[in-house]
Amino acid sequence: MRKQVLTFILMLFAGYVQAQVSADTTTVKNTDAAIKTIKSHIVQLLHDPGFVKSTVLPVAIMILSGLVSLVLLTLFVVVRRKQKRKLKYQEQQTREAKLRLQSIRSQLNPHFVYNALAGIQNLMNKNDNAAANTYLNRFSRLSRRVLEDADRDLITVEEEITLLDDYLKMEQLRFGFVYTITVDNRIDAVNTEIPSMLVQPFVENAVKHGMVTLKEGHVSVRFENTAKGIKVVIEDNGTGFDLAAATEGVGLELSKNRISLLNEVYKHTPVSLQVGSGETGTTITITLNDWLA
Amino acid sequence: MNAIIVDDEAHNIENLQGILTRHYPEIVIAGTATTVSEAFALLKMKQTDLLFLDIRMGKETGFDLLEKLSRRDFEVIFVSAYDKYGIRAIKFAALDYILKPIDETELEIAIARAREKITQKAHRSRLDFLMEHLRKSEHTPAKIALPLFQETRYVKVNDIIRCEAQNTYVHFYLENGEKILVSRPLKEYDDLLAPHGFIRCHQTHLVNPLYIRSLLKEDGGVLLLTDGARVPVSKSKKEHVKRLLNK
Repeated sequence: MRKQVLTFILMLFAGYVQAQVSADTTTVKNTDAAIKTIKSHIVQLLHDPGFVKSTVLPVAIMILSGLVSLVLLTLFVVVRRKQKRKLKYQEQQTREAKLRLQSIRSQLNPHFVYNALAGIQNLMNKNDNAAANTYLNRFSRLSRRVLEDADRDLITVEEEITLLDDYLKMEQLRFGFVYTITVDNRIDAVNTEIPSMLVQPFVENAVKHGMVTLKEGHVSVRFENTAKGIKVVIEDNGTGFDLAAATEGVGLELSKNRISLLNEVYKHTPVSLQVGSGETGTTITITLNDWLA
Repeated sequence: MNAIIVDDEAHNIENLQGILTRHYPEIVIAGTATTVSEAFALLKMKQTDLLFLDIRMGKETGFDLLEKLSRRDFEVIFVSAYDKYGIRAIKFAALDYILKPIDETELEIAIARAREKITQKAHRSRLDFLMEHLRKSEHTPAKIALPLFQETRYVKVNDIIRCEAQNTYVHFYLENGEKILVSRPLKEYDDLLAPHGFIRCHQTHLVNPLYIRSLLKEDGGVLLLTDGARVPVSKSKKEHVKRLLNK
């Protein structure tokens, strides 16, 4: 090993000497002769233990230690970067888990759950067994979706629509309002997947801000296919909320966090959010940019 | 008995009204309301004995309604789907509440109590106490309402030395040597007083740590209190008690 390194260094050295010599002996036409001279020079030098000890060895050690430190530095940087990436990933996972939990809590918040059950109780007490059954099934499907599928990142448009429909029907039992869900027929609802838990919080907000007090409330959810990508528009004719104050926008804050997290994962298909709220209602537009590209 | 139902969800009114009509013919539903202002107008107009009041109604609360009223000469049964803090406040004032969906046994108990209080007409202070506590917006008020047979006693939490259960009754031992008997289970006071540091050292005993003199080793653990009482510590609670006392 040591011998090899030494030979390598010597060859480098030879190159240096050759360059020096060729510069000195521009008149020498016969390169062969020049090389011969160099070779003999080298041999001479190598046979001189004083030269090897005083010049070759220190240079070799210097280069060697340089190389070793370079390798160590690269290794250090690589390991550190890996660790950082891992830490960032873990952080992301924790944030995601937290958001997920918050989302479950908001979707199955106790106030909604018990009032929905009370709605079913009323149907039972009115002896409307068919309706009681239907609503009980809806409620089961809704809670199952939220509890069991909470760890899924993506769900199909069709599944999302079922979820929204179940949710809105349960809310309808509590508050009299009208709603519509429409899907652009250019969207393949069965096979197109979209991020889960993205639309529902806005629909819930629409009910909360508008339908509780309004006599003729209306909520519409539209899935549109645009040049930009998939667009989801949630519109209500409720009382709206003050965007500047937005103190009651816990749900909005939650959704914003979710979107920024999604944008870390889906860098090339960013999700953007537009919120417009006034006295005549609120319009939320979620755009899944280049989602189908 | 004239009753009014206030709830922001029409189906809840319909449900309660249905149950009341079927099982309580003596209760006449004088009116229903879905908002605080509607209820306010209704209460001014109709003579009311009993008010069924939802706590959370959209952005408003049933407490807002009570706050607006200058006279609260009726009994209230709170009806709630879920409201941790509201129900806690109600319990501290020893008022009655039922949960949605409605459990008819719970409803029966609440109505029986209301009926009793309406005939006695010696109970309205509890609502005032509730409103005062809510205004202060403290989660753990300094006083607690104890419902006795003839009156409601308001006792400073710090004056309670200990509580001892006897079936579904609880004996309260106060600092001035008084002993009060309340017809509620100990569990209820354990929940209410635990945030004040009270220690449930035994199935039938709840102790205020302010009055603990020492933990004796006899009989597997006994708490000696400043009034000389000896309270047993059950085996399962011993570590828990030690930990709390060492804090």
